[in-house]
Amino acid sequence: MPSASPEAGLGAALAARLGGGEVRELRRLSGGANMETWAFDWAPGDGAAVARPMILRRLPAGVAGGGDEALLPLNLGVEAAVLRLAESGGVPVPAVRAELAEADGIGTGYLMDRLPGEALPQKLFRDARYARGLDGLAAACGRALAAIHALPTDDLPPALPRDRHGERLARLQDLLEGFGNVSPVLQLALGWLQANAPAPAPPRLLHGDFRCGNLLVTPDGLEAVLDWERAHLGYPAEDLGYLCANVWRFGRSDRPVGGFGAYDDLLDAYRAAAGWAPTVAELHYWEVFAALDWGLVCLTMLDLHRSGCDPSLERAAVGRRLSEAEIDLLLLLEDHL
Amino acid sequence: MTTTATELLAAVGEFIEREAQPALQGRAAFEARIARNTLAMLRREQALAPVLAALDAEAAAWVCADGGAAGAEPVPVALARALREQRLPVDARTLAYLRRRTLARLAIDNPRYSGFSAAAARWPDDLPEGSDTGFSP
Repeated sequence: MPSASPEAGLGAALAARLGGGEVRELRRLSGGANMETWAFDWAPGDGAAVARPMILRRLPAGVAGGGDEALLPLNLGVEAAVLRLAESGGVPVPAVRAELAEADGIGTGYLMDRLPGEALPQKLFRDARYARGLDGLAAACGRALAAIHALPTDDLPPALPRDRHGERLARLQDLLEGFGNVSPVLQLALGWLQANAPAPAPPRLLHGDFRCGNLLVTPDGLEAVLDWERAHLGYPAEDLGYLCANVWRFGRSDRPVGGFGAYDDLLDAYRAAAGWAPTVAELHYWEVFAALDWGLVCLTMLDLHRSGCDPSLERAAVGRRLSEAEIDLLLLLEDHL
Repeated sequence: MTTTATELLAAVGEFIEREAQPALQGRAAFEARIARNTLAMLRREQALAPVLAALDAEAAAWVCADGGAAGAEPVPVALARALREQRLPVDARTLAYLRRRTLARLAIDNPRYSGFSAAAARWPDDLPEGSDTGFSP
């Protein structure tokens, strides 16, 4: 059931922090069954200043994360803390302006700036205005990822997932079991990932979902890295390989970096900023991992549908995208078995 | 002869396209588009379900301990378990079954996916017979 609009509480929450003003053009953008993202403009009360474009991310009061938790493992407080850390380290992100408190009465969550740009790959790839921005995007991604991976990990919230790699693979095996062992291809891939696991390295903060759709792009290039709800600690090569997974090339398979760049564009920029870079062979391991992950996301969404948490047609239909992950895994593994 | 399932699927698709979609906006219009795509998927499944069944029937002999007796678990599930427990090798026979079944599955689910044309070009002999996929080599 749709929750009530946060409008009244939102105005009060902003007034308490930024001074008097008015919420305008409030509209819901997207989100899961329970997690909500709203866009609005904040018009300061004096009428002098220009209205400020903002975003509200929230879980309405009295609503458990429910089914969304399977897909969005971070609570919003952790997400806001990670965003603030990223901003302090020079990663292009929207600035967090305020965390919601219980007294605000509109749930848990936070408020951040709404930045210009386009995130949808279908629009970015079709609209000629973004051609120049896309040209330099792989290098910009390399620099942004290097900045993320250089962030200090000491003060990260304890709730941030930090499983070691072997534990993570074991958890994926449990998920496959839980979903009824329906895919021999995912099982084959998981066995391969276990047999070919990389040597342990010091864990770094990873974005965890770094790809088109979560990158805000303007005609000038990368504006901001969005959607940090899958952030976790792990090996840096994971973020780079994830960006190169075929499913995240959005139909442009001949451009391995996210559908817009060449491997060297990404790796050279990463190396220049970080002082090292993974090899293309190391990225291959994480492309396999990302394809398996996508297959499990499809099965998770199907499970949300079947459990009644989110009975939408969209969730049911995404279950059928499992075969995309399976064909990518067979293509990736053919010469590696 | 009564209305066939194929005719009903086509008629529902027409209804969504001509009547429902123009009257809807936002989220509902988005889901109407998914509904249309889903009907197209079901039409492809009608055509290709026998291919999946034949692949599974053939593999049951070596995947399932009981040769795939009635009521046994589905062949893909039995194979996933066997691979996990390393009771079956990842050999040419296993990989050929997985390629053919995945290609048939994707020819139903989403033949426009980039990985489908890549796999069809690499493994043309494993493409399902009778898949009307819009793919031209």
